[in-house]
Amino acid sequence: MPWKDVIKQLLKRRLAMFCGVVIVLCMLFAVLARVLVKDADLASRPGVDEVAEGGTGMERYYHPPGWFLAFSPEHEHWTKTGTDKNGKKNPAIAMEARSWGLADGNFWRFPMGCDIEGVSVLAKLIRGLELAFIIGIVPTLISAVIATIMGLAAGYFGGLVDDIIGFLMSVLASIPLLLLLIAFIQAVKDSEAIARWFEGVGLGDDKKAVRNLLLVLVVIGVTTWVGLCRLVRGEVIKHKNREYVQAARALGCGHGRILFQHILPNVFHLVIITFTLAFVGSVGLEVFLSFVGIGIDPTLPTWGQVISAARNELQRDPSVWWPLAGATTLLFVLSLSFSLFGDALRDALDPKLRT
Amino acid sequence: MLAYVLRKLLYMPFILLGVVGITFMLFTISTRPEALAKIQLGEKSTARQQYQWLESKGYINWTERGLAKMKAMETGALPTRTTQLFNAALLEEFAADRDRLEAEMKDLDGRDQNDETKAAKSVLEDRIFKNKTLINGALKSATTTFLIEKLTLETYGKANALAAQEAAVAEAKSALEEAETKKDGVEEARKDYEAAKKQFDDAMAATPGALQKLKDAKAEAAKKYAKIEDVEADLRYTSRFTMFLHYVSDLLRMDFGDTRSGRPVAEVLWKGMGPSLALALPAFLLSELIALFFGLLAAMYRKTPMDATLVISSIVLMSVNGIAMIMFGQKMLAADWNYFPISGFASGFGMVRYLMLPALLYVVLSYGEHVRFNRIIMLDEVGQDYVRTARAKGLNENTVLFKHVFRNSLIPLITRWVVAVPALYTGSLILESFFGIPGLGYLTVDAISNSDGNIIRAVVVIGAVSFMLANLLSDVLYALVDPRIRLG
Repeated sequence: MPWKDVIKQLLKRRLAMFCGVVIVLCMLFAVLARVLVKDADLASRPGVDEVAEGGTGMERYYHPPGWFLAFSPEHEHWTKTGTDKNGKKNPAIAMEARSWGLADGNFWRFPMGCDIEGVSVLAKLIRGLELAFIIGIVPTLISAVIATIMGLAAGYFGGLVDDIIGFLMSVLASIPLLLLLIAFIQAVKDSEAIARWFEGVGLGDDKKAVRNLLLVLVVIGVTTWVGLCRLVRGEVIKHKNREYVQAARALGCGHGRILFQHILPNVFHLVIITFTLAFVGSVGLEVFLSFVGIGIDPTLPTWGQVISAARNELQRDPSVWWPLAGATTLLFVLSLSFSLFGDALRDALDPKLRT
Repeated sequence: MLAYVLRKLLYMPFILLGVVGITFMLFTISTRPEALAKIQLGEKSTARQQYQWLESKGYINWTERGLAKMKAMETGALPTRTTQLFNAALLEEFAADRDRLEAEMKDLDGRDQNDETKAAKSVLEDRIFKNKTLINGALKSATTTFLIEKLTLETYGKANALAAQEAAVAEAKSALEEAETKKDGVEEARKDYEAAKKQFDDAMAATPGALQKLKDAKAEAAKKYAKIEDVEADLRYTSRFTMFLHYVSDLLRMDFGDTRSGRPVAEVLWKGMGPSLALALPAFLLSELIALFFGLLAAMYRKTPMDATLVISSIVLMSVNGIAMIMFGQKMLAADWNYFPISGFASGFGMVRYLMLPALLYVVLSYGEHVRFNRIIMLDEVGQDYVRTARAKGLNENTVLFKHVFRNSLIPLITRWVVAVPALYTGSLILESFFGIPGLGYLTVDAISNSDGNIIRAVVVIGAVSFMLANLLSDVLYALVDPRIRLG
């Protein structure tokens, strides 16, 4: 695989390079997430917001983004102040006390607003970014490994091996993915053997959320390998009888060497292309699973949890839309970057697939 | 072609068997058959009813002891409510737990005694206590059954009453002695004692030897049921393979079992199909027409800003998360601006206004991916040689596009449409649950929250079957429509 050519092709497309930079920035934030947002920042802080003197008067401690408040002084968030703990209605906030202008710190304090529990939405979303990367990478890696091995075996050896793997693929592909995931997760969730294995690795009962998340990710990886496997198998069949493989065989190479040293590098571009698409798909799957309520613990600050919690928040009066807006925007940026970058990558790696 | 179709149809049962096998495995790994019986028969059913149902479904086999017990319960020789039926697997589990906990305790005792081991020990002691309670309960139940069988129910009852009276006598005697030492209330105590003794003696005279028989039998039982391993099992689970065969035969008879609320799953699925199709079919048609239109537009105005707009809009809409879009759409269009009702459903023609917003959102959600796909297909066709020939022949652009390109690009589109149809009946899980449309998607989400395995299994199996049939149909259609393809 002429990697230098690939990189040169890639660099020519400025939009794709911009998206690549965005992705790298996101990765940076994901890696630094634990440093930027300490656990204390995520702790729930109900109570009156202590920003202004004597509180903002808002019994509700959650409020929209600072810039939104600054630019909409007539908004009902100012007038609907709620009641304090004695049941007395809080007074409306005087114009002088509305210190949300550009010069004051309040404007910048909660760039994306403050959600129901008093946590800055931006802080939660940065932690969610870290989790989103884990959610994107782990299942994709697992499914890529399984798909490559199965695809290589099925395409190269043919015959009975191909039939068995083909049967497995047909069975897995026939079951609707969402239902298969749900069935799998419910079956595996309470298994004793798996719980004991986790304890051995050091994730006991106290780290239940992480344990369940890893379980869900492994299940996603184990069920979504069929598409890539089909592609790899097709490509391996094409390469199986090429001259360079025949030459390798004539030189006395065994099957393993031919597969992993000769054929695999020529098939690997499919894996890379599918990786970028599957990343986004995996994050989207997690949003759906959080919405349905399967497998992901509500205490984990993933984006899916923010989005599914927003369903109830939107119905409050006045409605709390800013966590949903923030999570959707970040998810959109990540998906878009990966899609565009993946498109450019595909064009650079395999001109035949170019559109 | 016929050979191809026949071969594919021949493969299908095996794949179906695989699908059913996987769903069966996934659903029985974590649920005991007893839980299944509870779902089917309701929470209030007795153990006896549950095991009878399980036996009819092939999940358990009675042992001889079990059969004898069941017969005795039918004739009234054993009380139905209190006699416990022992599952071999459960008994073995109790014994294994006990051994394992003992080994862990011994291991903890062998280590140095610090705070950590003390905490672990107390947790372990809790577990040992729970295990002992279970075992003692089982032993007690086995003992009682043995006693009833030995003495017959009537005699057992009488002997128990006698034993109670004997205990009352002993109590009265000790009360008397206490009164005598205290020298207070001696007369009443003596009267009580005499009365109790007289009652006891009369009862003993009426049924001589019953009490002695009870005591002998109790001694025998104590020797017989010293440990949990001595308890004889009344039933055992059949092999997983037998369970699977029974499950498959049920499926073949379209018997999907009952939901948690007691209605047959088949009926529930049938009723749910209507609303699902009412939403999915029009939405699907609309979204495909719109995507077709925009794809043709992209092909017509390729390399112009219109094409670029289409590409950008489709990629952007593809990247926005569907669930978030539905939430925002529902909030803004329905709750805030009141263009549509927020949720709900009506039968007959009234359902149209409830389905408008979900259909609209469906179109917006699927726009991105479909327009992108259609555009790629059509641009592929436009680059082909026959299009160049058509233009060289002097045909105008419209004819080239709408007569040649359009028809040839329909081929992959048709295959995609046919495969998408089975997904329609399941409905969109998310759309239906957001808008309260009582279709199959809503049903499935409900079943997931209630852990109703029967519905999920049925939906999976039906989905797999229709998907396979649709794939076969699309292969055949592809061969029919494209003369270059020869199947087989």
